[in-house]
Amino acid sequence: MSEQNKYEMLQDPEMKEIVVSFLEETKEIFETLNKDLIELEQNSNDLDLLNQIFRAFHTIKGTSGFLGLEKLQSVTHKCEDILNKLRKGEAKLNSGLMDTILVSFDTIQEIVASIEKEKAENVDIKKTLANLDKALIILDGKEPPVKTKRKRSKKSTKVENKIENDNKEELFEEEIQTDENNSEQNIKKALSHTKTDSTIRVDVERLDELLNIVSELVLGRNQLQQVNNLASTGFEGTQIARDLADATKQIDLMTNELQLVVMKTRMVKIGKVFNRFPRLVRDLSRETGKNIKLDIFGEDTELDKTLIEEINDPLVHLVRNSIDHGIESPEVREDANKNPQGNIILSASQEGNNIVISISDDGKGIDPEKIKSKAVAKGLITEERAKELSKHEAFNLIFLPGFSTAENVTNISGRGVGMDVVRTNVRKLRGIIDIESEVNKGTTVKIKLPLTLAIISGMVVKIDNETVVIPLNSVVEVVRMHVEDIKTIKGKEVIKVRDEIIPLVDVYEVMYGNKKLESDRVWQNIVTVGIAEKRFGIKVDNLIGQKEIVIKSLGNYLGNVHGIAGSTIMGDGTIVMILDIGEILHFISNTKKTI
Amino acid sequence: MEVAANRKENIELIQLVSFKVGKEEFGVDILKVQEINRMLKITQVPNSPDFVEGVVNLRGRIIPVIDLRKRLSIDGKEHDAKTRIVVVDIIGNIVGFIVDEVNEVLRISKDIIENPPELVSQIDSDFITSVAKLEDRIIILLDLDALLKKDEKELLEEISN
Repeated sequence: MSEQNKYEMLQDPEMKEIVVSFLEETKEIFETLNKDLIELEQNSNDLDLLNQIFRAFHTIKGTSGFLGLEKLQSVTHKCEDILNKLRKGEAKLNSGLMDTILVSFDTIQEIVASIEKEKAENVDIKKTLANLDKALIILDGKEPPVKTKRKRSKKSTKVENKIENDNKEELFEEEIQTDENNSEQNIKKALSHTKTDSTIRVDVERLDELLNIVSELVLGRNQLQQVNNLASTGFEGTQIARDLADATKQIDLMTNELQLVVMKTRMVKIGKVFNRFPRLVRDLSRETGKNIKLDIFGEDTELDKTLIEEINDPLVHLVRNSIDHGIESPEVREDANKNPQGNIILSASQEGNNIVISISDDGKGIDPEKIKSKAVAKGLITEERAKELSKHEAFNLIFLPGFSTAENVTNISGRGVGMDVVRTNVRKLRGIIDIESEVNKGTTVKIKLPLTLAIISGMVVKIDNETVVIPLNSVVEVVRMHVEDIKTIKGKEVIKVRDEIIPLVDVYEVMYGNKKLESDRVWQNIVTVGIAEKRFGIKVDNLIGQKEIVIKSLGNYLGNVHGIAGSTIMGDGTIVMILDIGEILHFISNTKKTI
Repeated sequence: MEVAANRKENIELIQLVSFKVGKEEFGVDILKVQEINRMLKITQVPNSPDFVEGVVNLRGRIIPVIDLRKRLSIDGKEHDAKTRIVVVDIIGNIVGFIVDEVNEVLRISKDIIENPPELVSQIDSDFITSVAKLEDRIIILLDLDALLKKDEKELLEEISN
């Protein structure tokens, strides 16, 4: 019972808002801390950075004390003690000390997670506290007695606890004061920082609602444009047609702008995800005994919130892979005349309506032959098939479930699930993934993602008499092929584009069940599409154009229809299906049993 | 009729929308009916159950449309001027049913409603909740939930196949 009473405040409805904002704030602090701590390790003399980190811990400690979160308070307090010593130049930062701080930081994150989930601090902090104490003893002989006293007081009666708390409060005040005296400049800086950071928190649901309304508006705009087109031909030259054209143009501009702004409000900087990587690389390179430098570019690139949440896991997998399989040990690198320090570059950039995230390393690269033989050995493909594969196709074998080239399964990677997960996640986000690799030079993995999921650019095409939309982000290119250039291999039609064999798919047959009518065209338009690493071509009869479209679901009742991502309403009110290229491809590869 | 209705004042009344599909007359609870529309342009949805005729654009909202003839295994008929789409709201699921023609809104007392006989014409008795016996005709009350629910089962079967 007493356990529960302790966290009364967390359950108090009146406190709910304060607790929620504390959790959000704290999590934000974690994000910056994650990055700052790693930076500190490299620039241990950076006083500004130290002060910044100190303040971050101090903020968490202050609020946790107010909310009665004892465990959180004691861990942060001790971290603060250590940082304070570093700040004052009483101690020097070394990697052992850094480890202690980082581990404590992990514990702090665990406690906060427990507070959020279980409304209590269900985390064992004994070990962390012991580590922190040990570090403090090493740093300073005077500190231990205070701590033993504190430890004792935890088990003691309430009265004692109260006194202890009073003492603590005094201690805080002192500390805050010294903080102020010490670094007036920093406080000024902090103040100016809060001024420029004029943000408000908005419920994501409200943003979703806003986006929905904007989507409707886009549809309305499309409709207006259609009417305008009709009017401009029917009432050509009249004043009313001109006025309508002007009004339409105006609405069009405003709608585009509004759409952009609303989409921007949902955008989050990818730095939010990237910030976690310096720590990951640090820990893993230590674990593997490799010397790795991580460079991050384009952390200001913005992505839709939902995408940010989904992209983290694939990136972690890819970076782990680079460290484990890509970068060689320092000795091997030196033998190969390379810089003993390996380099991983994580970058993000915007390309039109897509975001491209790339992870490249200067490691040993991927040997296509090795991959082929591994795939054959695992029974994933036949030997004959392996011989036919191009270099590019061989790289794509990595994505097969159950594939792993690691000789030994380490706890970093090697169980052969990673790349499969990466591909599934990227597909879910309607993205494309591509691998480029050069033996001994390194590997680059590129992930191309759409900016947002609700409004997409689509290519409107006619297949037989059915108008359908192909999401533009899965379109690779449109080629015009002479009928004679369409060859058949084992009864399946293929085309050759720049030395790459691309199978053709009769979407009409897949979707509607019956075979498309043979057209007698001499030149055939073919849209080549790609999902993740796969490419295939779709024969289309007419290319109507590119349009901004709003994805509308087919409703709960129909639920998920195979091969259909959703539908949209065109300017003239007709409904058009949006093809789900990923699913069509999945369906085809399942029925044909080819890679 | 009016006298009869007054006499049975204390007996609960229900309102039905009655419509014709094939030779039979059917009824659904008026509270479940959102609106009745003339035929709209239907867009086919590939890979959906065959009684799902497609989807229509209902003032910017996309709703699925079920051909009740196909659903009830009655032979198909060309859509004509009398064909209507009865849009119903079943626990948040907005679905349209294509019917041959809509007759009227009926107010009937509950005591003329009986359980369906074992075999009612050629219609799958799973979809029938009850039968209302009027003086000159019989109205079959449809179980809308079942009309949808059974699809789910079939959809599942389709997916597992």
